[in-house]
Amino acid sequence: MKWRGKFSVGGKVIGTVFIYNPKQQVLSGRAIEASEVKKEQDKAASALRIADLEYRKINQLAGNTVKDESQQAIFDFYLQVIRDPSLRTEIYEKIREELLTADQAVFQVFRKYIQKLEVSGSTLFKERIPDVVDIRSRLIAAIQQKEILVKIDEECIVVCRELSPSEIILFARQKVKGIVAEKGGLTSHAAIIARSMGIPFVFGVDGIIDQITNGARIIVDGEKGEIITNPDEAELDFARSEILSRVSDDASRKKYLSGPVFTKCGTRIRTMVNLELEVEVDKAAHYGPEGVGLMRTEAFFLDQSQGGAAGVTNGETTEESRDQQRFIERSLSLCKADGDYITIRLYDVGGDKLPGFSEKEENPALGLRGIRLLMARKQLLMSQLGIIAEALRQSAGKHEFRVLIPMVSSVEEVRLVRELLHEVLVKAGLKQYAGKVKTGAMIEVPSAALIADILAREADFLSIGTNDLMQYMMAADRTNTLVSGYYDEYHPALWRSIKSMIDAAGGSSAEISICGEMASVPKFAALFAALGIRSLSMAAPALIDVRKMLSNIDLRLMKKELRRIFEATSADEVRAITDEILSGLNVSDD
Amino acid sequence: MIKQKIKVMNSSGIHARPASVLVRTASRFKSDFHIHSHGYRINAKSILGVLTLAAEQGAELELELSGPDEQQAMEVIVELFKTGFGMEDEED
Repeated sequence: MKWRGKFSVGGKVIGTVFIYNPKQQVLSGRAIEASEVKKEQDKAASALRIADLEYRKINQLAGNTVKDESQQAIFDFYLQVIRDPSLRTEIYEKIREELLTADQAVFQVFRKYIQKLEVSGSTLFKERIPDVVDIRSRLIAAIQQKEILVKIDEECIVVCRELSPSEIILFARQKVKGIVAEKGGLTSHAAIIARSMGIPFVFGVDGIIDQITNGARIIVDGEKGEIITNPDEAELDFARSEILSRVSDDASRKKYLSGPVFTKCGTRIRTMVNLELEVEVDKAAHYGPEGVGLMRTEAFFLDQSQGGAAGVTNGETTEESRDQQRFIERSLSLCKADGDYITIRLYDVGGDKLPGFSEKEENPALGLRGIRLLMARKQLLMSQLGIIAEALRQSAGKHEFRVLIPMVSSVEEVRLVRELLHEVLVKAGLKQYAGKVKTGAMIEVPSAALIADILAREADFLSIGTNDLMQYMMAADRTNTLVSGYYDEYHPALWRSIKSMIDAAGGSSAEISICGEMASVPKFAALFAALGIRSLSMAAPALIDVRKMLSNIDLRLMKKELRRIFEATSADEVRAITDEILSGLNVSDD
Repeated sequence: MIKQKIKVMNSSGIHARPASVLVRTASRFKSDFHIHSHGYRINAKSILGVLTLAAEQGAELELELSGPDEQQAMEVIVELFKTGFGMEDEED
């Protein structure tokens, strides 16, 4: 039987069905021993942490698309429930006093609240019941996940109603072959993750679960969005031959599976990876990045939660700080060659994420965020530098570490971080590694772009964040659909400013790299290289096409044409000239 | 510890969004914050607690704050009640 999904990512695979339906949750009925109380409480705590990370991830992904106020309110509500201080206490007490397993305790504590909402008069209160039930299901699913995983093997294609981002990360870890989901909704965020993990994923396939059985054969084509359940021999043969021909396609891409890449004129361009979560490390390794050009650390910053952020602020060793250190250490595995390095960006968060932060900011994007916030809460900065120092100690100075400062607008900010970093290293007895840690500024604020020459003398490197630079330069919020037209990567202002930065920094030893989304677009990558950029960092799957483009261009030829871009008067002209410059290249497949 | 009686002014009561605003505001202060209603005393930094109060328009509540910044917190929270939690429209 053939099926068609509304949206899909990835390639084609044949596998066996594994039906995953966490909505039919079966609670464990057993009573626990007093000696197991701590273990069950830890399970509940870990489920709360997973749900917290998951909702923040969803929120963040939604922030990159379109989000209206009421959707934001729902995200906020979910997070507040997860972080409800009474909820945690009540679950702990329930486990201890009634000797229940974690999943039972969560179920019963939520039941009490749901019943209260049911008897309340106004529909406005009753309307929240599905949300509260949903949060309960996710917590119970998080507690039970470990048991489900045992049943999944590598030949599986997971079929489910819908998937949360944390579930997809979980399946990716288990190396499932593919994923099929009936519903969209939050699943669309899961799709972004599936793409970054390279797993074929088809969703919006109505009614498929009722028509299949566990262990049956299934063909999933993520490219076309097609699924065949219970295929006959002819269909299987056809699918096998198609998969084979795509593999040979892949073979031609294979030579781009690792760096370094050289242009036709022999210039080496370093191609690195952007990371956000630890789980991405293994997948990224597959694309042979030459180090990490941007490691985001916001996921380790527990906003507003009582325990998490307070711990980080006080510089105690918390679970988050251990997680962050482990993330850094694992990312070092992506530094294969001498000279490869990792770039850790300091927390890039706004004041609203701090506990006890009572000032209201009219305009958070122009407010206390990035390095401004870290300077206002120095403890936070010091504790993160401490985490980096510990990771450096563990790595015994084998690889270079780069510390990237977000939201820099003045040179003093670079000086301060440099001094504090030195102080932390000396205090930790790591002075001998001081030469192994470099300090750099993120260029995303127009004032920083205009003083790039000054920053280049003070910093060891500069990294251009094209997304925010564009947004601040155009004074256009990129999540605001009313002004999305102003956010145009071909705007002459952006290209002039990048050129002037490269020229201005030319006299210094500071290296300029690009880590924004534009670096992952092959034609922009080619232009950046022609302008003089020698290192680019992007999401892992983009590395192949970017390397292919770079190895097909001759920078000497392109440079002659670049002048035309800076003479162009409009974005449309820049677009036309870019296409013209690059159409001359016949990017070959061999 | 300080206490103050207050009436819910906004037409839809303290439903999800006002509850969310209330809890977020309260969490910014160090002081403990409880609400008394119909003989119950709930932790007002708990979203589930505030929501299950199901406080509708006209409901009379008693706010109880206790801690180093109780005075400042009370002023801010009372202001929230008076301004209807910043809800401009009450369609949802």
